Amino acid sequence: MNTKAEQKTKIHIENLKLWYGQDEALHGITLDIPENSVTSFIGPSGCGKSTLLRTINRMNDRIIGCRIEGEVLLDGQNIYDPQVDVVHLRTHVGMVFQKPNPFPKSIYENIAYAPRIHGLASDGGEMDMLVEASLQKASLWEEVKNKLNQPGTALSGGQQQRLCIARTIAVRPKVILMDEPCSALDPIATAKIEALIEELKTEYTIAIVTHSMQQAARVSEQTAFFYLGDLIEYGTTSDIFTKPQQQRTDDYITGRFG
Amino acid sequence: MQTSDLIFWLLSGLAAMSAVTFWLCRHKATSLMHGPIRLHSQPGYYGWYGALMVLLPAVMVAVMVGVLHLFHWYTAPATLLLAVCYLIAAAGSGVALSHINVDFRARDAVERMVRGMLFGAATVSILITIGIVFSVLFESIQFFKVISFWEFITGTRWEPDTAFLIGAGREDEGGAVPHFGSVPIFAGTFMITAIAMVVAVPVGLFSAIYMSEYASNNWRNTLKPMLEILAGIPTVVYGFFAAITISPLVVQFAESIGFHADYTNALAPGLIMGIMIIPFMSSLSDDVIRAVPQSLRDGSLALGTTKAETIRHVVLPAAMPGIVAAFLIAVSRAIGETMIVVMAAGLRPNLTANPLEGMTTVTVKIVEALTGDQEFDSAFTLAAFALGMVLLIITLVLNIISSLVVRKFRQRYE
Amino acid sequence: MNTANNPALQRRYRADRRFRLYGLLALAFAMSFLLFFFVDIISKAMPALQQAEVKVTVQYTEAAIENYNKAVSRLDRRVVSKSWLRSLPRLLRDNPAMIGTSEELWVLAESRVDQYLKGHDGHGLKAKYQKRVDVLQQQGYTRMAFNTGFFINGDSKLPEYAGILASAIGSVMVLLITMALAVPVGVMTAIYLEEFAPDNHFTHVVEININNLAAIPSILYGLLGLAIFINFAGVPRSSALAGGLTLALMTLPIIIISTRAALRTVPETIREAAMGVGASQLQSVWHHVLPLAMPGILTGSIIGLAQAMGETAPLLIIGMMAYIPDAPNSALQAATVLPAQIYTWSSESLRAFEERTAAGILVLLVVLLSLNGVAVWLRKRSEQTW
Repeated sequence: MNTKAEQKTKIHIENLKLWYGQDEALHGITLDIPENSVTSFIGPSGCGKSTLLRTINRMNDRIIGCRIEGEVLLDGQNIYDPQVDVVHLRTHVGMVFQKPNPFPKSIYENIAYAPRIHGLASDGGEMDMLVEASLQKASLWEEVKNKLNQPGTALSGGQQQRLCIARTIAVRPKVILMDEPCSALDPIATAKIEALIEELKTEYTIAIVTHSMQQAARVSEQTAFFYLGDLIEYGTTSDIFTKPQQQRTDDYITGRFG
Repeated sequence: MQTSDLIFWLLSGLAAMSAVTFWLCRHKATSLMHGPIRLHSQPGYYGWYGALMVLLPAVMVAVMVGVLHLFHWYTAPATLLLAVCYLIAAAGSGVALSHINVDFRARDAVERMVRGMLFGAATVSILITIGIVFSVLFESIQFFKVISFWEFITGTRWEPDTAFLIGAGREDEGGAVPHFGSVPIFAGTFMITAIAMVVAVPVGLFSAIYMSEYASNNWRNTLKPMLEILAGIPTVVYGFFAAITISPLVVQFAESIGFHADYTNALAPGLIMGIMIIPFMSSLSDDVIRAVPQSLRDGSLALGTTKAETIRHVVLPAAMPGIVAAFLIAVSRAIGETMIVVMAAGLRPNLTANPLEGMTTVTVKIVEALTGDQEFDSAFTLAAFALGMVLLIITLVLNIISSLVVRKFRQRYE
Repeated sequence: MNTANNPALQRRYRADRRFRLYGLLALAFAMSFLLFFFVDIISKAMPALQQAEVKVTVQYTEAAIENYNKAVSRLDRRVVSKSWLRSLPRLLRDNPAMIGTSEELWVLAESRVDQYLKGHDGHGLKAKYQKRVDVLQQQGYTRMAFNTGFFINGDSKLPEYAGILASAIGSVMVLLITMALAVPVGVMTAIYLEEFAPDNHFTHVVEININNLAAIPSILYGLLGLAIFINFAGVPRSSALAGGLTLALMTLPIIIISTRAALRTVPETIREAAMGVGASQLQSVWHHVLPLAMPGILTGSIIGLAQAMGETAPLLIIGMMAYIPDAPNSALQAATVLPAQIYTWSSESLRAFEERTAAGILVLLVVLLSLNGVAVWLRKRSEQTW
């Protein structure tokens, strides 16, 4: 963290434990995610990286029997505080999922839905501008500007994923969580998303879960390596990939397991 | 004031008040929003909050008063009830308006109320069950006060015609003693059910096997809806068909081979009931057969067995619990089926093993007892509820066993 | 690998073909029954589409006001329908100018005449009148007209005048009440169970309970309706309200089960997407899940309502087989429904009622099969792969 020491911490996770029923899935994670940068979570399947990501906007609340101990602070505010409105939280912390999941509605409606329910823009010119701006930021505008009324599900996989990103941006979040956003995409679409992440990080704090170590190396400033519900190692991406402190991290990134 | 008038005034008054409150609350919320101040929820939610605060408490009070009235505990004068409900609604409106401020989370409040309403809807199904159990239990108890339970269960004579004398307090006057022995009635029910299953099980099961294992997708997509037409035909139609078309055919056929058959024979309704049940049997079996993993079939075929051998030795044994469950559900359908037997089977309880004779069933007796002109409290009509109770118990037991069997099956393959 | 000279293998292949044949036979049995059934019902119903009329001379006399029988000749009295004769005094009272005139009119024939003209066995027409009808026929004074009366009249003890209108209106009223109660409560219950219910004891009890309710024979719902709605709550016996309430309870589990199935087909990713952009749970259900599940919910509701529409047994118990010559004006008046009408006609002894019963069945089947067809079409159209 020495390179960006002056950077403000956006998210502070403190001794976070999580249970699914009787099973403890996270064993006390402590982690700082700095503002306006990309942090990637890597590790073998079932290591808890996606689970951790989902605690940051409380998507785990939906899972029956899921229980949490510890704190997740967003700008110093514990998001598990009973005072916090989970719906408001999710407007601040947006999420892009593994499989592109546009609403089965028009492209325009996909973007306009959330601003409308949050009252961020009134229908009409204001909404048109917001839709255009969001699509622009997601580098999708040029491809879809003439077919805004067509269903979002008719787009290609990569376009769908960028539509989902645009949909998230439209709510003006501070943080964007990405749960293996490229795992269902081909290499060309993946490259486009990665380029997009590169652009977005100037404005947003991004946390990304990825299976691909190359992707983590390409897009992120910080990398956290998880194994069996523990945070094994966390540091700048270059440190993790060039001089890991832990044997298991080294084993994983050199492909000896995982 | 008529009940219908009361309901009309209650509903229209509350609707108007909630509409006004909706508008007031939304207006207050919008007026709070100026400059940098942002509300927790969209203004519409404040409106809905107000509307629900008007409606829910007032309607709840009205329903409660209605229940009190039904149980004859207390009957409020209509005007008083109306006034109280309006007052409560007005109070709700006031409370809602006073709640609205910058920190108030209207969306959360609305969601809680909606969730409460959904929960309320879910409890209705419990109330129905309680209603069914109580309605048969309560009247059955009345019945068993007069007729011994033991006679009901084991008696072989069902001769209730003089039962009205008991109700009239004249049972000691030496008339014929009524008998309420239900054995012949249940025997008739089981006979007709058995005939139905003899038709439905092989036809349903083999249809399911053919459709799931042999038929092409197109074929299957044509055959299945056609079979389902059989399930869509109303039972009164089957009853007419059994009585007018099939019964005479059975009689003619029996006579042609030297037997005598009654026009109210058990065979005709049994056959038709079996046909009615084919689609239940086939679609339930089809589901379980298709749920058997393909890998089992592949494993067997790879050993060099024919398709039929694979089905007989691997697929069917694997699907057996599901097929048994389907069978049980089909049996409970047959036992509870009413119109076919009312129209095509006999009225006379008859303890016989000959399906060509007329015999009667539980459901026929229930209908007979409750559509006659006997007064409601006579042992004759109460007997219908006792029969209904037994029917309820049989159905529930069959259904519970079948769902246990299905759960076992699902655990194995899912 | 030559099978021709391997008898064991050949035997096994024959067994295989036999097994397949059993399946085909089972299906053929079901299909041929279906064919036989429809041919039988339709052929029984077809004669009812036509109704005999006879041409008679009517004398509009003063005496006919007091005794309508005097309007036609003695021989024709039992040839024409009483329903028409009965309408004469009123006609004359309303139009006194007609008195003293006479005219030749085509009028509805008596049911036995109708059956005799259609050549049905057991028509029951006395020999004396058979001769009269033969004479009329030779003169060309008999004809078969389309049976409009069947569709615009209510029930009647005179078969030639009996129609399905009153029971059809009763059916519609009952169905509307059933729909208004069962669909909202059923859909709400399903939404609660599928989207909101915590995984606790109460939820499990409700779920098991709904499965049991779906298996309870319909006649027991009739007992419930009789004991609770009529005897306890004082809903008028035979009324459309009592019928609608009873059928609503019976239909509720079907609607709950099918709505839950429809909600389950909406993929979890849609809910996540909505929540990911900050929609609340209710918003995600209301804006996304429910619209996507709607075709499935509609399909299930239509099938459930079609089943309710064809149901008879519980309605017999609550007295909806009453003789209803006129359509009810309110949900509290005695009413009957189409299946109950079919049931009462089927137990009438006059031969002419049999074809009316079959015709009523045909109407009911056409309505129900079209409803089911719409449901299947909806399901097909909305089949979506995610």
